Amino acid sequence: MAFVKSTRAEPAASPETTGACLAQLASPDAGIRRRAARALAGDPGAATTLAERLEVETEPSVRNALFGSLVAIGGAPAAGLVAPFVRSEDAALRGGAIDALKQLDEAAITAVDELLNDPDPDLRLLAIEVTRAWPSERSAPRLQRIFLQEPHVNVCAAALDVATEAGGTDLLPALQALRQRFQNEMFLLFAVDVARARIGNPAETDA
Amino acid sequence: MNANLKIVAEEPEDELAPRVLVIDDATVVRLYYRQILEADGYVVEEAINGLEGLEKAMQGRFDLCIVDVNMPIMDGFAFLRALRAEPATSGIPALTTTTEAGAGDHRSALRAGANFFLVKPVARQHLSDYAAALLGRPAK
Amino acid sequence: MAIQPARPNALPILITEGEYRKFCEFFYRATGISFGENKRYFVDKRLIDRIEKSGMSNFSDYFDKLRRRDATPEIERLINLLTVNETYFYREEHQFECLVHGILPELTAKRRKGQRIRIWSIPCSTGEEPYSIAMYLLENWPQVDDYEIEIIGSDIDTNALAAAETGVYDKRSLHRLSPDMTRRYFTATGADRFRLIDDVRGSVRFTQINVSDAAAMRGFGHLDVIFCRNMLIYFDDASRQKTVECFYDSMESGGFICLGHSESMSRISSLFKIRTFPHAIVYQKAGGSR
Repeated sequence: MAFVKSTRAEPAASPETTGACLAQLASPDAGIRRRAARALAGDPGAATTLAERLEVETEPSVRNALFGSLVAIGGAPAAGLVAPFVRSEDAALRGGAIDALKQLDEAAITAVDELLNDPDPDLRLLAIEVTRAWPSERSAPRLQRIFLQEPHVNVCAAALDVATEAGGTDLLPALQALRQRFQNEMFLLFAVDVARARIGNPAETDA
Repeated sequence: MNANLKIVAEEPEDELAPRVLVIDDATVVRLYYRQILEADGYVVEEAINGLEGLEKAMQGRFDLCIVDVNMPIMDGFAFLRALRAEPATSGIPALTTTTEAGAGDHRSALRAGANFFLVKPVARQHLSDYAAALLGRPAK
Repeated sequence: MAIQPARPNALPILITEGEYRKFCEFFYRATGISFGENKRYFVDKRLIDRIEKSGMSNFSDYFDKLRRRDATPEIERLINLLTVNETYFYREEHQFECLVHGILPELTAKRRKGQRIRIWSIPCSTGEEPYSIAMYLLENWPQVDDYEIEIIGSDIDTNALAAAETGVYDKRSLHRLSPDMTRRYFTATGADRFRLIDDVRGSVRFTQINVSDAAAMRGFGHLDVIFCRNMLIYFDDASRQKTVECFYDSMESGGFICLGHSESMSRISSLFKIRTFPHAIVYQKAGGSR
């Protein structure tokens, strides 16, 4: 018969001590580095080392594990360690950081607000994406401020995309103000119209 | 422009119309490009990140990809490298869009496999002209 | 689109055009599934049903709730309503074709005869999927006797697992099988009761597992092929990612994973490489013979 029914367990890997894992983060073998990073998921003491490894790690599966373990550790300090990677020259690291900040949820609020206030418009833009995962009452005031004050068109556009999903009728006046501020920007006017169409009429939502 | 657009084109497709794959994680951007490209007579499909884009490119027949850089799961540069590495898709022209106007990003895009690079927000006429150029067609 | 709610004085629930688009955009972003204008009636009806059952009176409140982190049970109910999900033998047969014509030839290219091939069906529900794999290999893979094939079926539901072990099915489960296959692999034991033959029943090991138990997931390793069809689509983003990370760790280099026809790694993780075969799109862990 071709088929076998094995009764023995075949575990994926044997557990290692924290010290061994920390050392293995620098192993020449990517599989070992990934396993080590995964094993440190429950260890808040490892957070700084995990973040340091992200600065030098190039293998995607290991980067995944490093971010994943930082998220599992959780808390504002972990968010603070993840946030700087939004500034990275490497698009994949930026994306990984944004995703991790989304998963950190409330713990990342301070870090995200800092990014939303950064002088670099590209950072403000990337940070807005995190708010897509937030409940409407948390994202609305941030979006409102952007619509009223943000000078950079791409940052406004990113906020509009979140508003198409998360926006409520309370944002309509700010959207009107945004429309006034960018009267010559065809794409932005288009995006405002989409956001308004998705948010709908106050009369419609009073059902 | 009409904000209430059809999400999926329901008119019968023109077999000979060029097929364009728009890859951007922002819904409003995909809608905007769709309007422009459909008005130019192209058939448009969408993807929300590089991995979905790659799946669609590998399964379908596309004559042009328009791909953003910053996307979750798989960014635009990773998409371009994979597109060029895959025999079924390596020859598809690709137009990259990004918010960063710096020369560094321009070079990265070309190195990763883009044929051309546009800075966001993309003006309607630019998208139309460069799409036509990469499709080997006269400008509209 | 309006239906009469249970309370006679309540206003009928309406989904506006804008709300429909908003919902479709949200659903597409979350699952990769697109609904066009032609699906309006189909989607509206089910949305209104869920809004009502949630004790709400309008789409806006319901949608707001759907976006929250604690909405997973509701999203699962909604996805269940919006997608087709039945289990039966030889469901999505093209993936089994891919297994035989694409995946196994690659896996065995550098493997000696007599070596083990491990295949995991998760979730296995009442067993149709892992048993289908066994049957399909017996019927279609000439090298089926050359290797030790280990098929594991896992599910969180112990009742489903008990039914799987018993191996008795109704006509509906068998509807994709030819009369010849039915005759050879099943024994009719009563009105609309068909018992799978012992040889095939004995070819699958069934185990209980909760995929969110990372420690339990670490107990599974050295997998060559994982069939994970129509489970991940119901999970929230974080759970999908965590589960797929566990799968990655459980797989051999060069191993393959098959998702359901309306599922994609694009909503989950970039850990795997896309592999397009004539019969299916599957995902592969780097390394191995290719």
